[in-house]
Amino acid sequence: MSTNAAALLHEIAALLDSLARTGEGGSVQLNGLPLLPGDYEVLQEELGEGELSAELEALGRTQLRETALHGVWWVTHRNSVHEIVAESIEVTRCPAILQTPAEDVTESARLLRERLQATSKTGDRNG
Amino acid sequence: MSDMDLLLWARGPGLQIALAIFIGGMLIKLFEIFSLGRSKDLSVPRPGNAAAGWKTIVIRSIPKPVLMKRTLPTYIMGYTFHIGFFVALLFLAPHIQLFRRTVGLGWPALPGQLVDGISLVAILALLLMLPYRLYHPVKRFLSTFDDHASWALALAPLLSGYLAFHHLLLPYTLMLAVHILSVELLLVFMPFTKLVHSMTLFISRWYNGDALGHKGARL
Amino acid sequence: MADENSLGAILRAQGVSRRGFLKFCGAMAALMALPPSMVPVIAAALDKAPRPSVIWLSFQECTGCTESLTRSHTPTLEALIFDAISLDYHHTLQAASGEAAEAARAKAMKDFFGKYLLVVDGSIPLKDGGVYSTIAGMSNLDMLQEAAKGAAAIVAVGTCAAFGGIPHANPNPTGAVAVSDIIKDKPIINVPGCPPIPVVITGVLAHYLTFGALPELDGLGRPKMFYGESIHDRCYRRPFYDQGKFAKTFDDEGARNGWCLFELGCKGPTTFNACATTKWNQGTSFPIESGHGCLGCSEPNFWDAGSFYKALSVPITPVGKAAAIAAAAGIAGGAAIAIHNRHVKAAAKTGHQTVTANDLEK
Repeated sequence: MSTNAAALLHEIAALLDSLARTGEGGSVQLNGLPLLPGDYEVLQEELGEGELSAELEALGRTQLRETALHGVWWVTHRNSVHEIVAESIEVTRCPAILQTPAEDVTESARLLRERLQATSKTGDRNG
Repeated sequence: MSDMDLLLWARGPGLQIALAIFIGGMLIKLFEIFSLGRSKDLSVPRPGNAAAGWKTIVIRSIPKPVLMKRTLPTYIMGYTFHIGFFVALLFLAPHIQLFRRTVGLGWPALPGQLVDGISLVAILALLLMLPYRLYHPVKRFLSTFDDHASWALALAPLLSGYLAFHHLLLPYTLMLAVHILSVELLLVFMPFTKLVHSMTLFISRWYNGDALGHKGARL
Repeated sequence: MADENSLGAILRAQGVSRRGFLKFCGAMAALMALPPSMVPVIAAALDKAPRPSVIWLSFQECTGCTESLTRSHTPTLEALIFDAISLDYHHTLQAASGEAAEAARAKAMKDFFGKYLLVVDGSIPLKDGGVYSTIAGMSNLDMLQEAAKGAAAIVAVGTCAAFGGIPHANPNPTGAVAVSDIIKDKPIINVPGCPPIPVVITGVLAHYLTFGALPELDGLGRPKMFYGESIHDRCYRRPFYDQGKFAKTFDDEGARNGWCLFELGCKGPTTFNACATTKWNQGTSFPIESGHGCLGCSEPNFWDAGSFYKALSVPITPVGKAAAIAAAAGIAGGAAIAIHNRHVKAAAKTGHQTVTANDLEK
């Protein structure tokens, strides 16, 4: 294994330790690193693929996949023409972007209420 | 003037000026030496010593046990510095590129880290030479401004080169400019200080060897 | 609740979800080398940031910088920030609008005096009163000085605007200079490169929008977060440089094995830019990865810095002529000295007075 890939895995290990002890993990940006050809594939092989993957369609597709190591997520952000704009390895119990933003919840509560009020009005007519 | 402007000057007009002064100066020194010459030795030469001058040029590079016993530190530091200096100058890949593009000659390089280690030892030898020169009563008595200036002019390219190679002290562009300028300074002052020995050593060894051979003395 | 003219509101009006916005902020944070903990800060700031007025002036340039950014037919995350900013004037993009565009520029400069961001690409020719580049009959010099008066800050995009670039190269027939050579009383951010990496430009704007201030700049006015390290410092071929494995020609064994391109003229060690990390075309590659040495395009005077194909250790001007002239002068001077010395010796010989013991006793 090249030193680049090994160094990255050590960093991930340190972040996992921190996550286990204090609940705070971290992330490693992949696009900014000087990786030798082959490092990327070595990293993928070492981390493997886990049981959970999620896709987000916003400004292009983002794929989040937990690796075979629980708590280590591989996140790939793509734009609307499928080019990779950012790629990172996140050490966390759940990547922040998966959680529904609080303001969205408030908004959808309001939206559904409005929709129910509208249907109840028409529903009255139909009995 | 930005760091890049300084570097471009050093790689451009700076080198042209330095090289011109160096070549002009060395040639004038050569003419001075040979035109002054020496007075003829009118005695009968001892036979079998015709090539004494040429032999001496080579032999004097080999350490003499008698002299080693009297001045060992000078020998060790001197040899270490000179060998290290030439290894750094001639066997580092970027320097070979310089020669290939200016003089047209190239040759294989040594691994960068090996040259780096040898340069460090040469720098240390040179640094140790100064306190020794100041501590040893005879050397202290004999030392002039020329000796100290020559020491500094030889140290600057080695040290600045080492610092540039390791990206230490100054931002790289500036450090590289300083390194090239230090070489140019060395070139400019070489014909006019004791550093001229880089050329005249061959002449003086020949003359001395020839004179000794004429007398039948041991070379 | 964000004001409807804020960046956040505008993005949402364009159909960008909050998660999409967070994705954008995450990419921006990564770009600015900020830790993930900064993402909420960036999101909060950009959400509320008022839509800035931007005036873009293109002077003596090749339009490569504008091209590098405005891939309007292939929308990218970084182009988003340009959708969000209020681009009140860009004479190339607005060329069809003619005088209406000039009127829009005048109005924006008046309405947002003291607050608009001035973006400049291209150098400014000074020779002959600046006639070598004019827009709507006005010289670039006059237009720059007028627009700079009400600018909050100026972003000099591309090596031409930052350092003079290709028009400034020897012999500089139009007297081209950089923005910073003309404007001395406004904060200027230099974003050099020929062209600069698109995402670097948007990253600088994002920083300005998020923090309301210029990012930390180096000695040449370049943002340290993108220009703080040299290509050499972050090059993936560094191990080969350290081991002395250099490609000697394009397409030789070493080149095919991806060895260091120092001997083929790579200027990576003296060039500061984000090419080795951020790379080009959304992180696809950069010149060295494609097998060609760095040209040093984000440094001043890179066009006059010697061949792109000769190593950094090689002189940029030929030394043969200087050496030959010096040799001739040395020989001539030496010959003159030699003749003089001969005369002195001959004179000493003839003037020599022999002395006998009798003379001494007197």
